[in-house]
Amino acid sequence: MSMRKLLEIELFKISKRPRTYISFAAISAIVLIFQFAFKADGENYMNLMLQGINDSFQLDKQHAMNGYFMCYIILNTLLVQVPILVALVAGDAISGEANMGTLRLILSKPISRTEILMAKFLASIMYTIILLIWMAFFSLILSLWIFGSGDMLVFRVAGEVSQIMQIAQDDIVWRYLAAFGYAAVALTVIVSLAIFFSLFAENSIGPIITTICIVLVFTIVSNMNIPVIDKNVKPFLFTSYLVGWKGFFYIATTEDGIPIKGSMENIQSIQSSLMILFAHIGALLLTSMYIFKRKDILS
Amino acid sequence: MMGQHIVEVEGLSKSFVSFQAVKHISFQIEKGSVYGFLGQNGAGKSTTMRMLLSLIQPSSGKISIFGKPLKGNEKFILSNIGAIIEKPDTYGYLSGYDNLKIFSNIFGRSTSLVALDALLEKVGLKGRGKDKVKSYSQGMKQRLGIAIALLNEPAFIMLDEPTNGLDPQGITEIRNLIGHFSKNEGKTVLVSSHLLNEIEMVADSMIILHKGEKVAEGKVRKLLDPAKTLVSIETEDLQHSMSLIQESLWSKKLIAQNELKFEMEKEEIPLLVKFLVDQHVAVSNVQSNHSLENYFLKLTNS
Repeated sequence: MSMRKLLEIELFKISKRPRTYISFAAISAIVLIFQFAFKADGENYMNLMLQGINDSFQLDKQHAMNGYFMCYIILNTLLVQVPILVALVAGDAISGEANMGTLRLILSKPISRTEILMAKFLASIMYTIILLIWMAFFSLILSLWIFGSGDMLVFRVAGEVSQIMQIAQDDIVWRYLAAFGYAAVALTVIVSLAIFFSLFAENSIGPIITTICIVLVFTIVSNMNIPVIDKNVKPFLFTSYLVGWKGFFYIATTEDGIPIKGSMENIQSIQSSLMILFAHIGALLLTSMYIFKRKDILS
Repeated sequence: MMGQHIVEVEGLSKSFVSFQAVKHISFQIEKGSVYGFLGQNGAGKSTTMRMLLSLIQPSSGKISIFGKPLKGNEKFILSNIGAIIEKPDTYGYLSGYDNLKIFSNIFGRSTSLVALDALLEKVGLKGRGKDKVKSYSQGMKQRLGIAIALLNEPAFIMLDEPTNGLDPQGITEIRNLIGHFSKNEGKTVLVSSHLLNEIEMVADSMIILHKGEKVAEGKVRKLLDPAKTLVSIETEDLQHSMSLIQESLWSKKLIAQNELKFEMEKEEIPLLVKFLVDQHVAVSNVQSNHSLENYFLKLTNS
């Protein structure tokens, strides 16, 4: 049996489960609420963001609050929650089958456990990608339609320094494509983690909650600004690299502070973050395969 | 004969952390036969069946199916096996058709509605293919499970407690189906049950498992031979009686070390009593029971 056929079966099963659509509904609802709120009261938000720098930086607020800017704000908020939505499906991959009793049925067919695990892994990634495309449509395309386009402002807080960067309109789309690509890799770590926990449970609640808890705790630690944690803990937490997509919007500037089109401030940092995320995926997947191949199916 | 055996199991054991589920059992299943696994819940039946399907790794022992070692030949062997282990669980949120399609695809078989309908008709689910499985009764789920087990036209079918939860009509239908597989289609069937009469009605040979150990094995007709009887005799002087028996030909029928317990044909009982009386032994009680049934009842009541 080909991997393609197996993948089709897994995608078919995912598509038929009601919980699959919770994530799509949640994303749509959150994005629409954001867009409504900004359409109704966006100027106050801009004033809040620009507090203190209004005097030195003259901005056309109406133009600044465009679709690109909206999408950036939405992604900043949503990409913390999306791992939870991804865990809903990936955490169910093996444990859900064990709970239904279908795991022993599948594994008594002539398919290797590695093939089954890979098919479930790939199906979960495809689900994640479709979820990201859905998110891109709502947060970018719909926002551009509602708020229009223009140059994009990026607010950045690095330590105690607040910074505003401006990216030219024709220099934005590739950054979003790259950011969504990066997010897909980052979310694949969550998929791998949820599938890993899914191997040990006979219902999907355990792996889903465990994955969510790990993501939440690690995210909180990753956001702590304590020197000892910065140095000794954060580099080892995958959550420190989940927000690496922002790096695509940190544009390099000349000595005079003029943004350089098509540039990134620290491409090495993005590359090393991606490497670390891929290493996490590889390690989790290989460990999962090793365990799954030796696991006694008692469910 | 080696070639006539679909399954050959030798010294199979399985230990979990806290207990040993299967203890060094060996058996062979003849091609085209219905082989029964009899034992209480927890006797090791399902664990053994799971090991035959590679769901559980044996701690020790050898399994050969279709003349090939299971280890390393899983794909070939599992391609030719149809199985239901414990409950016939399928995807409840999908229809009967969708469930069949998924497993047809796995086997690379036809997923045409005509082919699936023919299969559903065979197991008595005609006209219910479009319904979600969660709306099925236990009996219908069992039938769908059998339909899935038959998708690959297997040479060897394993059914773990196939009549569990079924009404009397359903039980009869499953029994007839098992008979049909063996007699009309030449398939080999391994069926497990905790009920002696279930096995008695469908199986040609059987193995009795108790706490992971094989306690009896053979042709069902022979094991359940009504002529074979377990006889217990009580006498005034056990030691003297025992020594008399040990010195006689009756010792061959003795099945206990320090009790006067024998397994023999019913007609032999008066001869044994006469022998003891002729030796001036005062016989105070004689009890006889059907041997295997009694033994199994003793196990299940324990």
